[in-house]
Amino acid sequence: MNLDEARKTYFLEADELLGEMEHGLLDLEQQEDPREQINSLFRAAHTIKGNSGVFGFDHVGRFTHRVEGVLDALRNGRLQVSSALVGELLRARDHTAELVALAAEGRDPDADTLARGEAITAQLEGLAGHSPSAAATAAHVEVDTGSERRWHIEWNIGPDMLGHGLDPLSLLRYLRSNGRIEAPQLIGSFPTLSEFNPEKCYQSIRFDYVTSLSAEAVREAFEFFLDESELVIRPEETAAGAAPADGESAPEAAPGSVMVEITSEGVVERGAIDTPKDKPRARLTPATAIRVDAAKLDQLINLVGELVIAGATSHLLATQLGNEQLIEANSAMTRLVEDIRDSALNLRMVQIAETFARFQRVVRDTSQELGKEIDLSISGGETELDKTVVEKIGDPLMHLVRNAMDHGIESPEKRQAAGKPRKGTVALNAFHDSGSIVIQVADDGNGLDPDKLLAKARDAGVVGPTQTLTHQEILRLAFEPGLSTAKQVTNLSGRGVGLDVVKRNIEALRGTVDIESEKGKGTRVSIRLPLTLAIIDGFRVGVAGSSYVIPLDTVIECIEIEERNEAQRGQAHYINLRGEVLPFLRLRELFQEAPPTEESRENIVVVSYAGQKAGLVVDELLGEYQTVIKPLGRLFRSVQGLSGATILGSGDVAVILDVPQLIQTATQAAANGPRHAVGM
Amino acid sequence: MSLHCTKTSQGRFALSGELDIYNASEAKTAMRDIVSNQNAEVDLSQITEIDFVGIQVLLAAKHEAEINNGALRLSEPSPVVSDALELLGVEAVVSTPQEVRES
Repeated sequence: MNLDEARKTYFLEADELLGEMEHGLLDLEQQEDPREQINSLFRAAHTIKGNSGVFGFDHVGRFTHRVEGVLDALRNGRLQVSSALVGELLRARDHTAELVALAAEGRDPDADTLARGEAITAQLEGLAGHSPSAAATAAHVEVDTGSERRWHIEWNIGPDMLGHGLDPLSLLRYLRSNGRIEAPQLIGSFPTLSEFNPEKCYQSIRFDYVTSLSAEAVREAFEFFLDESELVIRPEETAAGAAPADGESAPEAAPGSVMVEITSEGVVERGAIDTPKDKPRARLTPATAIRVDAAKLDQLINLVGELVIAGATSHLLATQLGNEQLIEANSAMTRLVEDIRDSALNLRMVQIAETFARFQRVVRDTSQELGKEIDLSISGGETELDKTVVEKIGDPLMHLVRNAMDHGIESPEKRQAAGKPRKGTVALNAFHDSGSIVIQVADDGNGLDPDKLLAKARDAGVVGPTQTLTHQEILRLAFEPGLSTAKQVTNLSGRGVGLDVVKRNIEALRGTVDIESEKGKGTRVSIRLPLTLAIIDGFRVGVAGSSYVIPLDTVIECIEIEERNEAQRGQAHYINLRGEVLPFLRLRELFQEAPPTEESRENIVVVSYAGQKAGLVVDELLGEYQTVIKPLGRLFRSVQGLSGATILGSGDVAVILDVPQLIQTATQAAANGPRHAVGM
Repeated sequence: MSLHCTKTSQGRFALSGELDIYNASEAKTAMRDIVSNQNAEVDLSQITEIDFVGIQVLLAAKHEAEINNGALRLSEPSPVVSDALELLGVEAVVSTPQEVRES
């Protein structure tokens, strides 16, 4: 039996709705006019409830029913938005998520879970100021029209619906729980048993449904079955049950004028449907996105990578042949390949906003737990980065944010005493910078104490007793293992996982971490990550006949070294570049290539990364080159300064240089080497 | 998750287990065997689960028996079976104990 598709849809949709609810709740207090927000919250809870009923996830249905009741009170203005209420609703949302997760595993919640759910609803209903039963009734009022009426329902079940795992019986049971099913009838005939396909549906169902649910609610119940069914819902000519005499409180139009007809093509509504102030919509968001298996995307990116290499080969051959037309055709193709590459990579790019938004919740919960007043400010949420990177950045960010709240921001009293606003701020920011994405976590807390850090590092033996460090170096000690300056171990941070783990995680993504801090003013941690892990634009250089590729985003300029200064060749480790000291490295020496011949000229490629610059001395400048990163084998893992390899159009292999590493090496060499510059 | 069909005596069968989509083809096979007996009787008291697929199999089998000028008696429905039949308005397909005894 295949995985039940409809159930899968239910769980996906529930996930989305729960996400929306969380988002909506966190936003609620900020809104001047929260009505729209409350409506969408209500609709989300309502849809989850309805769908759960259809699939027989009764625990989810029952719980959300009561949450819906409270949201309804909020919607009708019987209840005001308050911080306590939002907190409780958030807990209710979490509990719903838990119940949905249990349902996904096919398990029923245990007594403990149910008791917790009961406690949450009791709390909620306490806040809402009415008894559980009143709340339950209130929830009914929304979808209830207050009076019962009779609907004729003709449901022509699609022949394949059963095979897709949808059971009409479960829907009928759901309907029965909200009304009465009368005079049901099966219409249709069966073939002989030998031709009978047990997974095919041969019957239609006709029945009368007496309920106080609104037309909309009745229609919604069928939502999951619509794709494969034809459905006609008609009210009976004379309304059954106690219709209000004045007709004013009955929101429906006059009986007989309402007809809802639903076919597989969509929803056709004829006549006047009942018009409550705002109808719960069947779907909250139109389907503007499609879900694609991540593995398919990876495969596409791989193929594009191969295409880039093949294109380069063809371009090279065309140039060698010198055929103008061929070269032109190739250039056009190269441009297209570049576009395809960019679009393919773009498919995997997601905005970081979603990752950031999760922290609203974390900050809210944690600040309450810590008894601090903390705001989260988010900027740069529209910055995009590769999905694989986004997935891995969550944990390190979480750690940094918690760290900022726990150790960075002071208690309100302390802040007041220090002349700061009572409310602290944690800021998340993201932006693009020279081919990387930079994510910053900043707080306006008490900052790091360099003296304390240094003393601690000396105690721990990380820094020698006589060693002197710059301010920046001292701050970076915070990322060394076992150097937390927190006096008190709380259950937030200080759990034995320090900033050193954050640093390790970031470095595993080819990223770097930096920290700025001013005592008493605050701390800012900047994470710098590559945008993608698959393809880069490179700048190809030659040293003694071998090719090397430098990531183009890091290249600033190229300078020719004049050949005089023979004496200083191979000795100096920095030059004077327009009055600036620029440390440099000779790739020839670094990679032990053959010594230079007499007429060879040297060029310096100036590269920069994270605000630091260095020069790389090479023989030849070979121009821009699109590069597909191929990981280096295990053999090369210990070689410093290489980040990967690539195959050139000619079939030769070129190594990709690890610029951050090289800059570091150059800076160190310049600091330790002989102190005379090469004049330019 | 399984469906069993046992023959209790000549022309009498008992179905037990789950009469649903997961056992759709087993259900069909079982009912074909049963219907090949003229005037067979099926005891449904041990059915623990039934869905629309199961109901259809029962109805189709009864229909088949009637085409062949025979009859198929469905008897002793378990609570889940009764409930499902009622929901669909086809509870009449089940023979009451009186009918069974009279025959």
